[in-house]
Amino acid sequence: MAMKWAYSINAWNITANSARKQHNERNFKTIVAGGLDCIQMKIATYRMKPLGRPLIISQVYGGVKEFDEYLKNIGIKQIAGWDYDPTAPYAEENCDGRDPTDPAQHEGIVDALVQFAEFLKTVGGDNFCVRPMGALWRAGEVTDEKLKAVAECWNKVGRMSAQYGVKVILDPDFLCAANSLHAIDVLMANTDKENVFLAIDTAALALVGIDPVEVYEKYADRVAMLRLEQVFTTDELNERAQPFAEDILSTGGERGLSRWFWEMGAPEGEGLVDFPKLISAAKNGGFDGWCVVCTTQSEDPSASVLFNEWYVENVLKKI
Amino acid sequence: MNNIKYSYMDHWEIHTAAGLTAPGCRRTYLERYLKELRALGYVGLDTFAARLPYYGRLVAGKNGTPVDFENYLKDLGFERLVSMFLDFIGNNPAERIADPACHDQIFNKFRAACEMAKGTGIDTFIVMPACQYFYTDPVTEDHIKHTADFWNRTGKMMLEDYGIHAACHHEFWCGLRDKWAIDLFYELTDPKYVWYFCDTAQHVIAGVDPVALYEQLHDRTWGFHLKDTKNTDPKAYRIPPDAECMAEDVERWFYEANGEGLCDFPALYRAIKKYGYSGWISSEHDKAEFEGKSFADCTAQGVWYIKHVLDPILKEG
Repeated sequence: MAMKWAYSINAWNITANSARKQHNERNFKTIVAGGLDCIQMKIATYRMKPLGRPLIISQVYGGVKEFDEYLKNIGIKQIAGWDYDPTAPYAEENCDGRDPTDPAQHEGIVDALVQFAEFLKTVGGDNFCVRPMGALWRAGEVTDEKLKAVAECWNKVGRMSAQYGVKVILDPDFLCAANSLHAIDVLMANTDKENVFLAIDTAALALVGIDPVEVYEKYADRVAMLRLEQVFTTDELNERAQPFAEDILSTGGERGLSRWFWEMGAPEGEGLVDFPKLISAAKNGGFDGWCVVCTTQSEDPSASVLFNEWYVENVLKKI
Repeated sequence: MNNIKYSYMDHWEIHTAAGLTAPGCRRTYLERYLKELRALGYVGLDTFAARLPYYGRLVAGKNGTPVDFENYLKDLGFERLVSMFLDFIGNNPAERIADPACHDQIFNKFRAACEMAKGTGIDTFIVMPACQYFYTDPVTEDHIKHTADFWNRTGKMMLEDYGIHAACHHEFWCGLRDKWAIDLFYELTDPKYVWYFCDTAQHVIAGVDPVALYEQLHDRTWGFHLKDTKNTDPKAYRIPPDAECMAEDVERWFYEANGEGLCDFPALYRAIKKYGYSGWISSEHDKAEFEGKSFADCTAQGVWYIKHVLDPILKEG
């Protein structure tokens, strides 16, 4: 098995570029025209996110199988999986967000994901890439007890999703309370090796001063996804621990950064992530999971997608 | 068997903190733009005469040349520079192509342009063969004869001295837009030195069928601009100072080829297959920044259409 490549549809994330069927068709065609043919989807809510839930997809495209066929006609050969943030509100589930540190809320998370697992079984997808727990600034002290509760939550989800051929992949994002080496260690030590895996989120790790390659090498046998995005700086002021830390993504924080997240090979700065080194390590480690290219921030999402696809084709795939 | 290569006509603009701008104004913008074209599979670049010296300086410092720029393209995986676009629209009264008294001056400017391109892979100048309709009106047989004389002379010089083909691109607002005028022009020009360049949208706007014209002139065809339009033009072509910008009821004339406009690209590709055309096909879609779109988005749509709809036609049966 070789490593597989996908683009995350997070690249188009505003009403103006992804709320209409024809917008998303352009977006899919852009990914295909640039050379990739798989996508990672994102669980979402509300009418302005027509790709966020199986029910809404069926309303727009006539059914899940019909949606998959529609994508194949465009040239998208596979939906890799769903990104999922359990702490986000989902109106369709009468839910203001669920906390994986609270065992009483685990059942709700497992139940919420059943329909998405069924969707993936229908279309041949294989993963839930999940935010393990909420934001650092909301979490209070990140104790081992809380982390073990989080691990148990994803073990439960993993046992459910395994019945559908779907892995759980833990992806601590930049602001996530589990975005630290210690938290990753505890989560890996307390989750089922068969069902629960780790994503190397390059930008998230680099922003908190962790080398993604070191984490990959430590957990090579548990890594099922590489999320590929560049950064030029770390969160040196530890602003992610401050109240309302989500705001810094758009404000640029105290330093007024124009962007936190950049394309691989972006010529505007010195990237902190060594992507060739990571891909070399992954190849040497026999990695056969997903490489998901992400664009969290961009002046022009389509341009960023093409720029990243150039880098994949001309740099990473040549390693 | 067709051997087709795709190039991109250099209209791209990007949104930056400093506003909407051509990518050639900054090295990082240029690098992004060209890598995005490569991601889409383009292996050639068609540019403008006025931009070429600037590109050289941008990639190689103040003594940089067009050859330096082409080497930069090659480092990124492009095969070469393919063409330059030149026009003499007629706003300079000493450069009216239909007037024999102007020919020496324009001829010398074409020679200077050839000198500038020397050493690069450019083998084509895409040219507007006549001045704006406004400056040519009324278009008479004499005007067309004088225009043909100019191109016979200039095309010979370009090809014999520099290996560059004069490929005539008939803007809907130029003096050679109507079918009778185009027919007469090609009757009066030498097939060895004056070539036809098929711009799909320009012909459709002018009420000329580009597929039929290509079939008629297939043995003189030296390239294509694949671009689409959603309007024809019964009158705006006469409006000074610029028919394209002054038309009151059409804000955007040109779109990427994606099957949504008036041009019948599948029919064109069936003709291309029938006559075995081999060579460059160029994507062109200026003004793509209109209507909130980006050049990256629009170009990707065009490439998707080429890969999934047009190229398969060449492989049928």
